[in-house]
Amino acid sequence: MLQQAPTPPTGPRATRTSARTSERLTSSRLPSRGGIQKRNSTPVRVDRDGDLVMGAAGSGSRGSGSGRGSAAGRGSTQSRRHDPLGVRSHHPSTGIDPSAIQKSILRSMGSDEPVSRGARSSLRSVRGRGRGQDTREGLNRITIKGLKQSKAAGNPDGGVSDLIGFLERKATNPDAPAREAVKIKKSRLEGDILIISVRQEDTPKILRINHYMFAGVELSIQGPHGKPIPLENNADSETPNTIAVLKGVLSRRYNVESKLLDLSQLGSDPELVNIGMFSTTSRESKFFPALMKICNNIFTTAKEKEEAIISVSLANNALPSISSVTTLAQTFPAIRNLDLSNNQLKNLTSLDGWRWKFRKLDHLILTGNPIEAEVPNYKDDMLKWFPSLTTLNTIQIRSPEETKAAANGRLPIPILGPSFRDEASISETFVKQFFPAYDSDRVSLANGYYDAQSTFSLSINTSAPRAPETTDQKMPCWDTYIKRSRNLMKIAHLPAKMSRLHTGTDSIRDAFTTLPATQHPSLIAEPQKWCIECHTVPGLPDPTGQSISGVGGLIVIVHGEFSEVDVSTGQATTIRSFDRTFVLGAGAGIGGIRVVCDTLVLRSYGGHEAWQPEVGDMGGSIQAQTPAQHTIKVPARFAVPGPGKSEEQVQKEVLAVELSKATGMTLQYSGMCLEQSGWNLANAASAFELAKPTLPEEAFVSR
Amino acid sequence: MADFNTIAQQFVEFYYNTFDQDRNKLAALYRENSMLTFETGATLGMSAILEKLTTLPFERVKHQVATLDAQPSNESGGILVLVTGALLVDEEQRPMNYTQIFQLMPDGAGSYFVFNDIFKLIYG
Repeated sequence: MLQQAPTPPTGPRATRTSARTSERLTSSRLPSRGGIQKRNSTPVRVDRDGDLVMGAAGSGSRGSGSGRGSAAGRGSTQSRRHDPLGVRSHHPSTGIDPSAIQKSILRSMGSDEPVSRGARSSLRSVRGRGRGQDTREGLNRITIKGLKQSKAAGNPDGGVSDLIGFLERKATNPDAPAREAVKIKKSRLEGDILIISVRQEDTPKILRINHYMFAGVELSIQGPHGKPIPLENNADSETPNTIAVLKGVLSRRYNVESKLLDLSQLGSDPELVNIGMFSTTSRESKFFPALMKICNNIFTTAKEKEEAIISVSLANNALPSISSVTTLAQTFPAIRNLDLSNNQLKNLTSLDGWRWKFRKLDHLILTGNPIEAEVPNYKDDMLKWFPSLTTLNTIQIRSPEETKAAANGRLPIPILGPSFRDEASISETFVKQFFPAYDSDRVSLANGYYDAQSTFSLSINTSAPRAPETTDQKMPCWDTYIKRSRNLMKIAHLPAKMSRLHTGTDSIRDAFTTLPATQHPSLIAEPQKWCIECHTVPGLPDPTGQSISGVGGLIVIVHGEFSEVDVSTGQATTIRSFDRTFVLGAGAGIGGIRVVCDTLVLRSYGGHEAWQPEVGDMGGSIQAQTPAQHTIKVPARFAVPGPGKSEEQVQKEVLAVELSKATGMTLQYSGMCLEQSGWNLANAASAFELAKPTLPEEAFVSR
Repeated sequence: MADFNTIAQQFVEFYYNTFDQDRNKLAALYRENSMLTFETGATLGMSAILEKLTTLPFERVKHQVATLDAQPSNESGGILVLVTGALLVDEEQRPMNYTQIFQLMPDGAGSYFVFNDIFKLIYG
């Protein structure tokens, strides 16, 4: 067990009666089940019982050694358990020198530099009251009794906002201009008493409401108390002494070797209790932000924080929601492990402030919270919220590969393989010839494939994401392209729109030859760096003039990458990603085809993982599930445009061929199946799977 | 001939606004011979396309168009529209990047419809 059994509250807290306050950062009666210990960089699988396997913490405490995952990579973890009362000796650990951090903390503790308090306003500050409305005279504090007995006490915030609204309404003269409306500047609840701060001139107006009825009770309003509070000075500003205590707490609770910040059971921390940290709700609500502020002063860069603190435990704090500790996500956004066990978190709302935070969180512990029973499917939400999460409550819920996919933001649309509808391999032949020629001889390429009606244009997508491995490099420069970019979202003038559309061989050749030299990866040697799709397209002009309605063509879509080449040295320089779409038609060019349209989008290099199909959830695509294994004899002129054949018919035939290839059904049966499925390939494939056992032999092509 | 740039821009604006607000209203843009290719899944015909679009696994969606380019693609007034941009889905805050290619065809009554709609995610 990581924590000692909870001790009863002592000191000022014991005398308190506020139920509301004790909900918050207080010690829990629930048994501790272990905190978070260090994880090594090597992935360590975890076991299925209640203990953590990160480090040796808690091992054996439940007498279960079975089911424990690989111990590999745990060797360097020396910690047996976290000693909450002392700073451990230094053990050189992986990565950075922990003693440096220790020194840093100690040095910081010794300094008298006052810690500016980031979260000055209490969490219960009245929303929406800007400082700009404050007058210079200062604020009076007024106490209001009776809220706890009122019917409003059952409301989500204990009725505080209702009461404040009531007070402001009643105190404001309905005939007064809006700027004279009574505003409650600050408020906080301490036990049964709501303490509000109002401008001095508003004080009598509030006092007049004394003995008014509010939600079934008579309010007792008294004040003002004490001297007016100067506006920019918080009355209960933490003293240097408090800062020193907080630093001490931080130091005691920081485990150097396991890089664990153990903030569990804060409510029973004797030092915090002694200085009355939790003696008022106001102080309590400021405690955690203040602690985080000190952390921010100790670790000034994100890198320092990430290296110093891998795990944070907030176990056994009876937290009803993470709202009082939400600043953890700002201060330590990169932690890997977070222990929230044995709190009072009961639903997703109570965790909402951390949704989509902690992008690197690998292990989350929520055992001992009501959410387990009240939201049985909370695991699914946690998977969505925390893209790197692999382990929940010590149980692995997602493989690192799946996590990577989630971190890439791929879900919820599954990535599927390329879609290729080109029975005659026209586009394949074209692409294989085109890109090597684009790298080596653009003049011949332009002359060979483009004619007087061909069009080419180029646009730059500067907002596309960059591959993770390139993000530390300088931003790619687009100077050589930008003046040609025909991004209609950016250029408004028609002359620019038209001059950047290159029409005809000469113009296209000129454009090609002024663009930087390139080197595309080999289509044959590195096919994984390419994604090529092909679709039929109707109604292209027939250069022979024989068909008035035009002839069919192909849309070929190529996603890939290239390196720019420095012509003088032959060295590859910048690497970029591109998306290039061609419309190909029959013509007098190489291989009897011509390029009708050529549109090129360039963007920062984004890697090529995007078009590797996801394994698993394929969203019903037959191509991805079943690679085309069946050899189908496609009759001549089937699935290609021809005289007297409607485009719709061609599309249907193409789909039939595709379904046949995937299922082994004859074209006729594939057609019937598609007809019944509304010409939806995925639905047809599902229907096929259902009907498969009942289909006659003649439904299949002979095997 | 109407200016294909303007048609493409108006189309893209309309398409994504409609997509983001009420996907059901996209039906008007497709015909029985329209083909939607969403990732790999191919869908033919207006009703099947609509079913596909309305059953995509997200509720709220927001498109951010980064680039738009268009070219005339045939003599009868077809327009090739190429869009790249980012897609924000439900509470996912990391945008998904995509390319989408539309082959617009005149419907003979002065409007255009989507003949090919080819959507592909291109993650970086």
